[in-house]
Amino acid sequence: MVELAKVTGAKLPHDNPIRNWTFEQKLAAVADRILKSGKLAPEIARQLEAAVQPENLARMGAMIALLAAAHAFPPAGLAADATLLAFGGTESELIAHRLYLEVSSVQDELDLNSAARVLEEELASNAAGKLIQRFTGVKKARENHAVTIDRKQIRVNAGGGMPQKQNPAHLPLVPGKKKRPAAANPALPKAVKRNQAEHRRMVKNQQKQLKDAIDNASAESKPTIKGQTLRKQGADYQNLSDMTLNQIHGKKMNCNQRIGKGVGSVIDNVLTRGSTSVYVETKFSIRKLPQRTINQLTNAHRKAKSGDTVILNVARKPTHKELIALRNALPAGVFERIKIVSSQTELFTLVKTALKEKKK
Amino acid sequence: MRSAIKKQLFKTFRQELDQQYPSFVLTEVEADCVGVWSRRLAPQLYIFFKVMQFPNEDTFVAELAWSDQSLFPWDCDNRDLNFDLPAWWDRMGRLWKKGGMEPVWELAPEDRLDLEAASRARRRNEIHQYSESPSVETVVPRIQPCVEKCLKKFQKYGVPVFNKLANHRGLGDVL
Repeated sequence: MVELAKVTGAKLPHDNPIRNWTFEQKLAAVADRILKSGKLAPEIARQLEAAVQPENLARMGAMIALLAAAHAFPPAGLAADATLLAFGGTESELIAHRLYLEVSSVQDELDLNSAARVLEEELASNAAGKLIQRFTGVKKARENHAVTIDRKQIRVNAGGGMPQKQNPAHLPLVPGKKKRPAAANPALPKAVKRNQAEHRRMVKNQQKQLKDAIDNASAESKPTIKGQTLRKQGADYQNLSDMTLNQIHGKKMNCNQRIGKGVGSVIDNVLTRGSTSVYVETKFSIRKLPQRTINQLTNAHRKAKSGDTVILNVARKPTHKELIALRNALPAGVFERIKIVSSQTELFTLVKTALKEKKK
Repeated sequence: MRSAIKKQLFKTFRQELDQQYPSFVLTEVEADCVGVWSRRLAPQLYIFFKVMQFPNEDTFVAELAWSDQSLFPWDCDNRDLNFDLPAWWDRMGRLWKKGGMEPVWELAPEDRLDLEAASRARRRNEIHQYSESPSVETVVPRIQPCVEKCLKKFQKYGVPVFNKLANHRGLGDVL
């Protein structure tokens, strides 16, 4: 039985290479990292802590594997969330599946961090909370979960209860019933599904790719290699998103279009069909928010007419903290207008729907 | 676009436009674009040729416009060629490619090929190591032929639009 350092005080098997660990050992290490980070709401942290107690850990691992196996999509990693939902999986099963893929493919420290990030973000959602409850049998009163996390009275209610808006930007701030945009369209083009699989790999391998580039760089390119690789990764994600958007029929798509003045005057994509426009700004991550990004979104908001849509397409799903920083950085009313997506299937469905709606 | 390439691109466009379309004068050089050239057809009718760079790629596009003001009408939403309207602008490529992704002029296609290779590697579940962009010295000699091709397209698709506009406003052929 694996013992979790935080829970039991015992140590993980560091003499054994991570790639040789069992699923439960990897899961314990992932949970350990999240608990140590201290970023989770206290109630969720308590539930997770209970779930990875030695007596629950094997059960949790087995249940995750079982739920994931119930949707046998070989090979691991290729099944998009949308497919799972389209086949009738519940949100908890979706998360179990995602966790299974993430944890079982852990090979090294970087993978552990990546899996921890995925689980940490999922734990912010109600569905993940429910999943943990299924493992542990913990049934806490939902009303006890409400925690105020900033001065603007943005409430994180781990038990749900706040009304859900259609804007995905609200979802991570108000965990509850998750929107299922991709599943709503069962006829996703093959290319979009393939791009979604690529998206996952891109996000998962981003740090490793950067580390490898730095390690392999020659002495003269060492000082610039980090910036260069980060730029390339950004361009790579932009290229992937362009390929997804190009699957929408009957649209016009212009890249790098000017929509304002000065810094942040150019937006990545403007898609039009008839008189409807969709403005898309693509970022790999919004951990740092330069003024250019703020201006781009503000300009797009200003330029968008009623019926137009402004989308912030972020490869790495923004955390609560990042969303709050974004909301605080944007002028009043802009954040509410922006739709935030973090997957290719979501991007495709949202843009396609937005361009269709006005046409009717 | 790298600044040395942008400078050379501007220089080449200015030289070619001075030769081929001397009636166009340079009006604006802004951070986000390589340059804007305009011509006054009537007291309240200006036509524009703008070269726009892409921020993160060595790629450019041309934009065409008309306006009743002397400044490029970037804020105008009209993309239909309705010659009665006071202003219009669109990417030049849209005159021959109506839908889908627009045509662009790539000065470093190696970057795109590298991204395609990265995509193929991801599908094989491998991690791709990006190659370096071609050096400025490699890219600069490609500018002249690209500018010439762009201006040929302008001659074929842009000039007829401006002539139609001028005829519609009773000014006869202007280019």
